[in-house]
Amino acid sequence: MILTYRQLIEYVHEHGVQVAAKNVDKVALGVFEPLENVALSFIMKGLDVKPINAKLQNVPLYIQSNDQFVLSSQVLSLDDSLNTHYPGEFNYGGAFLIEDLINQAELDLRVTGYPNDIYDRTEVRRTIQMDDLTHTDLTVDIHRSKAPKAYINSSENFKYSENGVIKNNLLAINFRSSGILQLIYELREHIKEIFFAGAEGHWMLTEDGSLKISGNFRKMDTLYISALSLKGFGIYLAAGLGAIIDVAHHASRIEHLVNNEERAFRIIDIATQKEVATTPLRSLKNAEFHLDQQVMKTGSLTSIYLSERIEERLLKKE
Amino acid sequence: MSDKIRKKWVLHFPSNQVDKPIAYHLVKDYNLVINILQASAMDEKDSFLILEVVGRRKDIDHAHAFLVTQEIDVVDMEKGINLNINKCIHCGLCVGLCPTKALTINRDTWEVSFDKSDCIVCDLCLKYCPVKAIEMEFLK
Repeated sequence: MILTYRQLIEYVHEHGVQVAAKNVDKVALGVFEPLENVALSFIMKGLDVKPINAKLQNVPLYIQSNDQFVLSSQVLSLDDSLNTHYPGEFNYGGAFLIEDLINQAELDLRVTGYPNDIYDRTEVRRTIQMDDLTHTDLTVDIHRSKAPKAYINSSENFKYSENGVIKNNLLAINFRSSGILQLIYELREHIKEIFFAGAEGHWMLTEDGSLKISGNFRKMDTLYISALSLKGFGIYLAAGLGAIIDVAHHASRIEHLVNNEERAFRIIDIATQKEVATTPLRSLKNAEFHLDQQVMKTGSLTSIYLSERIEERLLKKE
Repeated sequence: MSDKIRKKWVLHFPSNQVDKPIAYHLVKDYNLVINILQASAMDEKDSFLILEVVGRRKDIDHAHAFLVTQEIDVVDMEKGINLNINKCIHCGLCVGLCPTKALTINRDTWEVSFDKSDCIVCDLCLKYCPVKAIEMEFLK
C-alpha cells in the first residue's frame, strides 16, 4: 500500500505505527516552497564568441564554457533602481527568468566577447527562447538544515526576511517550511523516486552529505514553478518536489515521518535577533499562535495545498 | 489633518489637454497631495490618469470643478482588492498579514480564499504577495 503523507498520519493515528509498518510499503511526500541553491544550466550553440560577460534579460549568467551557462535563481537583474532603496522591490531576476523560459517567452541575450584568433566577435545580441537551448537541467542542492526558524517582530516597523514580511508589534509569526523537504533529506537513503516540478528527478548524494536533485527543465510544468519576489529581501524560486519513500517493515521510518508534526521551530524575534522560544510545527499550522499573552496570526511561504497535489500525483502514477 | 479626505479619480483627457500640467495645478493651486497610480498617454483618444488625491473637501471640490472646466472627464473610483486564483500558490503569507478575516486559509484543504465583504482595502496583501496574485481593481 502507498499513502500520501496526510493519509499516513491518519492511518497511524487510527492503527498505530506497528500496523502501518506491516501494511504501508511506500509514502509519497510533496513540498512546494521557496528553495535555496537552485540553478539552471544550459547550452547555447552557435554564439561564435569567447564570452567574458553574459546577460539574459539583463540578468547575469555564469559562464561555464564557450557555449554553456548557468543561471542562479536568486541573482537579481542589473541596474534595477527599485532595488536600491530599502526595502527593495526585487521584481525580476533569475527565478523570474526561469519562469519566463518555461513559458516560452522571448528573451534578450547579450554576450560580450574577447576577440581572439579563433573568435573575433566582441559582442553577440539575439532574441532567444527555450527552444534555442539544449541540455537544460534544473538542479537543487538540499543540505542538512538546522532547526527551521519562525520569525516574530517586536519592533514598531515591518521587517523583511526569508520568511516574507513580518508584521510589527508581535502581530504575526511567519514560517516557510512544512518540514517535508527536511524529511526528504533525512530519508534520502530510502528514496525510490523523485518528482521535480513535473519532471522525473534524478538524485545523488554528494560527498559533503547534501542531496543533489536535477531534472530535465524542458519537461517541467509551470504549475509547479513560481518565482517569488520577497520585498525587502530578495528573489526565490518556489518549485514542487516530491519523493516516494520506501517504508515497508520499517516502523522507525514511519515514526520519523509522523514525528515531523513535532519538528521544533526556533522562534526568533527579528527585532532583537534573539531566539525567544521553540515550538512544534503543528502549532504553527493553526490560524493563531499564542506566545505568552500575545496572540499572533500565522503566515507561511510553504504551500501545503500544492504540496498535497504533488503527493496525489505521485500516488496516481504508482 | 482630520478634515482631510481621500479620493480616487480616473481622469480621461481630451487630446488637446494631454500636454497640460494638470497634476501641477492640483498640487499648487488646490493644495492636494496626489499619488499617481497609473497613467497612459499611448492612445490619443483615451489618455488617462488614475490618481489618489488627499486634501480638504473644499479643495477637492474646487479641483474637481477646475478639471471639468478643462474638459477632463473625472470618474470617482472606489478601490477594491481581488485575488487572482490563477496566480495564487496558496502559501498563506497574505493570511498572516490581513488585519481582518478577508483572506483566510482553509486548514483542511489548505486553500486560500478571499471574502471581499471583510476587506478594508489596507493594501498589505497587495504590497507583499510574493507572486503578485493580489490585484487592485477600481470599481465605479
